[in-house]
Amino acid sequence: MVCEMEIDQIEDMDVEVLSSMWPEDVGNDAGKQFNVEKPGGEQDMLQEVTIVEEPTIVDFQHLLELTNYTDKGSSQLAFLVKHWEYKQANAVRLLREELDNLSRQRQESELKKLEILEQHRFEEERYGGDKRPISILDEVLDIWQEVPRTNNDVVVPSKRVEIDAEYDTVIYWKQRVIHLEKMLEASINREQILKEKLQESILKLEKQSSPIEELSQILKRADNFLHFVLQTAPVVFGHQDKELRYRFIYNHFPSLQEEDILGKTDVEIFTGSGVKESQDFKKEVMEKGLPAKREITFETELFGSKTFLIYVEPVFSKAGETIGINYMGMDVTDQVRKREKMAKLREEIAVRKAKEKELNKTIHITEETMRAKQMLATMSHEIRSPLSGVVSMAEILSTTKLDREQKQLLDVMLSSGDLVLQLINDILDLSKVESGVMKLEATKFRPREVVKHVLQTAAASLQKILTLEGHVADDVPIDVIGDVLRIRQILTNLISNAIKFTHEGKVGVKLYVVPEPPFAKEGSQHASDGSTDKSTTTSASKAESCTSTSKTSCDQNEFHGKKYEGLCRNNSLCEPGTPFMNGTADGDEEQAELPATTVWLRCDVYDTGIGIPENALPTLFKKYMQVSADHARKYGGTGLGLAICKQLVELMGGRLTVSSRVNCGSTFTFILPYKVSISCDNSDDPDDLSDMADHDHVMDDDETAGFFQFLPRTLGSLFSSNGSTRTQKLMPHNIGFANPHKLNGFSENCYLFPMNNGRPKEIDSVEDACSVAEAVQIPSEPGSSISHSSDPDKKSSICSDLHRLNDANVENKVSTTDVSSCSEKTNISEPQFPPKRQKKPDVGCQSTLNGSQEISKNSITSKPKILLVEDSKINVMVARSMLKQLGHTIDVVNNGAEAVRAVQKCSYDLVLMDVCMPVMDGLQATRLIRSFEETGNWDAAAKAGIEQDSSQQGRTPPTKRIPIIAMTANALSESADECYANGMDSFVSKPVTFQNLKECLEQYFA
Amino acid sequence: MERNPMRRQLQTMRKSLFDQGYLDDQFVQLEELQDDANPNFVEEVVTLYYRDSGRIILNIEQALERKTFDFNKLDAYMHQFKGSSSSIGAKKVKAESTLFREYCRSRNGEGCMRTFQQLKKEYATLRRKLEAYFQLARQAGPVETACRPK
Repeated sequence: MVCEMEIDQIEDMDVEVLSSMWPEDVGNDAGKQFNVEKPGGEQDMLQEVTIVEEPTIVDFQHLLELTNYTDKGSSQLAFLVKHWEYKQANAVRLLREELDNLSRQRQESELKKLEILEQHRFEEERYGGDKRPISILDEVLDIWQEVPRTNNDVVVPSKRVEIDAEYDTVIYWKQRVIHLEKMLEASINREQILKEKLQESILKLEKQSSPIEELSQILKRADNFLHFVLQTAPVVFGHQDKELRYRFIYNHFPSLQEEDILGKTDVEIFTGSGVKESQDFKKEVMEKGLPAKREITFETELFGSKTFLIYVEPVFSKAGETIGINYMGMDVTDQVRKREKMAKLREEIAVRKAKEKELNKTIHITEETMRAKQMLATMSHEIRSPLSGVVSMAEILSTTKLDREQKQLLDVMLSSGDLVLQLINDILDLSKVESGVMKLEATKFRPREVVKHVLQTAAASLQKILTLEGHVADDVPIDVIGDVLRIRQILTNLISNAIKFTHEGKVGVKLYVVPEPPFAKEGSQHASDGSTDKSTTTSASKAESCTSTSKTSCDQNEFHGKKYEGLCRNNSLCEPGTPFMNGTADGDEEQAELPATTVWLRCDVYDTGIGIPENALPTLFKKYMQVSADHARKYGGTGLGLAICKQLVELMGGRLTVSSRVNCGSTFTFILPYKVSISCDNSDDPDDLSDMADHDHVMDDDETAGFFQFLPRTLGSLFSSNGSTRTQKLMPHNIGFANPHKLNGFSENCYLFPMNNGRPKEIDSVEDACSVAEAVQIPSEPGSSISHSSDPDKKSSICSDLHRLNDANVENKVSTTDVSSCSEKTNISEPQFPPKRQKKPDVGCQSTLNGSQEISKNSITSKPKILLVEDSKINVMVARSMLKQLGHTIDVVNNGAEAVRAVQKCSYDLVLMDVCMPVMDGLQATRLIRSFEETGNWDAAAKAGIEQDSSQQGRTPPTKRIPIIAMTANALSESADECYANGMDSFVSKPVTFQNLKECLEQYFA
Repeated sequence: MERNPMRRQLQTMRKSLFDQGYLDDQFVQLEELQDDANPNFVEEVVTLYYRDSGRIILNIEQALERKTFDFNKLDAYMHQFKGSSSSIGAKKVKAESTLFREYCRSRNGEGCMRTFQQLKKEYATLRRKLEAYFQLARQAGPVETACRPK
């Protein structure tokens, strides 16, 4: 059926025949799978096309079998046969129609004949004069009369016989007969001709070609079209049998011979990657019995690396068994390559876009941050200047005559001012460090003193029962070089932090020498950077050490510290004229010349506080970060302190780390490099010794003391380091001597204070002169400048201490000899201050009403005591006014914690409690109060961080339960149920109305 | 009816504040608290309100400028603000705060922003109106009414 076709065959083909043979419904219906153009004469493109047919290699035998055995083949055949049948039927139908036509015509002619006959008879009868007997029935049944009439009108209207002869003559009738006879003859002739035609047609029908021939022609034509379409298509298709042996393959670019392919499998033909995959894929399709597509990349020796899109469909036998597969492959290597390239490009574009976006974001953020920082810094600076004015003026004010209360107020004012100043300084520091503007100074200082002073300062403002201690290892050098201001800042920050988060136990500092840590390389770089910048080192060292010490010792009297500083500066400015200068210069040079060794000191600041949860550690040193929002509320602070510390430590080439256990305490450790100039130390020591010969035990004490402790009892005392005995030891010394050495450059300064009033001025000036003379006498001593600078340290602290005593006794004008007793007095009077401060909030809360306090006290017996706990000022104002109209005066506190304290202090008859408040909400406060009422102690409150004033500890619990009325805004977060669940008795909804409040209070004060 | 024309005007103004829904009964509560001892109580409270709430508004504004909203914080701020607003009877402002808090709960940042703008508008309008009202009230002088028996 299918045969190899040759080019000439196509040309030989009778196009006319084919065109008629091609079934119309095969070619024209849209959606048919087999769409073949109907060629019209010269338009047959195939005539001009050469079709190369070699690529087709067919196993005819198998194909025959296939058509016999497979569904597809047989259906194809059936289809063709059906077509042929249909065509034949059509031809038959046409013939039949023609036959019908003819027979109709014959009928017509017969009818006409009858009519003629009838007419004739009629006429004859008329001629005979006989009347045709017509029965009644006849009338009805006579069809002949009717039919001809119609026929007369329709069929042969034009054929009316025209006879020249006169009507009703014999000639007329004869002529008429002849005429009619002719017509009949013609009709018979026509019938004859038609019959012949019919015969002819039947013959023709017989002559027509057999269906097989036609089918083969159809197939040939289809084949031609296929060839035409496929001749350059980069496709391969074929059929493989059950064992995946090729039975048929079409390949436009054949690279193998027929015998190389047919009867073989893929694996046998090719080698390389992808072959196995395609084979497996085909097997899979065969197993599943479902057609599938897959893209497979081949890497074969035969045609290199190519990607094929392979379509495989199973071929089933009539019984439904898989007997092989048809497969079609198309080379899509280029497309795949392009596609991959596109994907890659797209990916790159996406990545680039994401990067750009990220970058833009970062840029934006950076810009924002920069702007914010700059603004912050500028603002801080702007604020700092006037604020320091305020603080300074307040300090000046504190030196004037003030009564006790004024003094206290002023102290609060000063400490608040200092706090704000500190905060602003923090912010400025931070922006300085971040912008790289901060310069480190290298000054000589004594680590022991720094530790001591920082602890002293902390102890002075301590408001808790905590032990502060400091351990300095023996191997820590007496003098080191570093930026003492910054180191103090770090230490102060860490200690105040530790104190803040420690409720009981102790806070301490440990200082000891460690070997060079691993990160030292960059660190030493830093350190050397710091030390190279030396232009003002020595003079600065004096000034700084002066400032720093004075600052700490008279923290609350900074103004004086500044005075000292000024004097220090004066002193150093005076020096150039004196031989002293030489000493300074010498010292300086030596310092620069001799290689200074670096010592690494590790400083641990430990506490027994609340500790830091592990998850908070990573963000601990971040700016504005605190352990939690809860902490921020409870403990306050800006979250800047640790960030600054870390930045400062790192700036100095060190490391700040932390280790902590929740509820056990935290340890902050910083390791910093310091320079130690051995030569200086050496020259320094003897000088010190000689200089301080008279009172070397004092110096010894100070220089080498390794342990300082500030016990809670000596809270606020300034001279409690190394035990309280020290006070006695030092004070008489100080005063008793009143010696020139001690007061050296500061003697004049000391005159400024009324304390010195009792002393004869002359002595001082003489002694002062002496000291100068002495100094002049030892100009060659290289360390003199150092000794000087270390000396003032001592002095400034003492001076300020004296001054402090002074302050306490301004009005008394104490004489020198009285001072020792005064000092004790101070020790006693000083500690009184912090507890007072501690009480402050309570005092505040009670006096919120200040004006009405007296009334409430007066009416305490008759009128119920009401506590209002509310954070909103407006609500306080409204509620107070309402209660006033109801005849009640109230105490107001602003949060739950204050409420608990208020209840600890004073028994109330009713508490109006807002639910949502900062620091501690109303629910918790209520719980704590209820817990107290049940247990009789405030343990729960203490656990929550509210310490009870010791003076109130003995108070017995009230026998009755305090009614607590919640004030809720009916929000979800503060439902009535929750209020009751937490121990509240009833609630008033917000906003509070006069009526509601009245009704509510009437329930309790009926 | 008041004979004093200024007081009449004041009454009209006050009525319109209620009629237009700017104020609710809580404002009457405040007015009732006003007596000889506190002749300007309402004005004082309102002044305090505007002084105090300005800070919260600022806080919210700042919180809304952030890229990611801290809805809990916003809600907390707004709770405070709403409490104050309802205490002076600022009806419209309170309504907006309620809406804002609902948006906070449903984490609808866009809704929060929109409501906040509306809230600020209402807040400012009320302030303007109350300022005018109190100014007129000061000019009109104290009301001659019987005081609440003490």
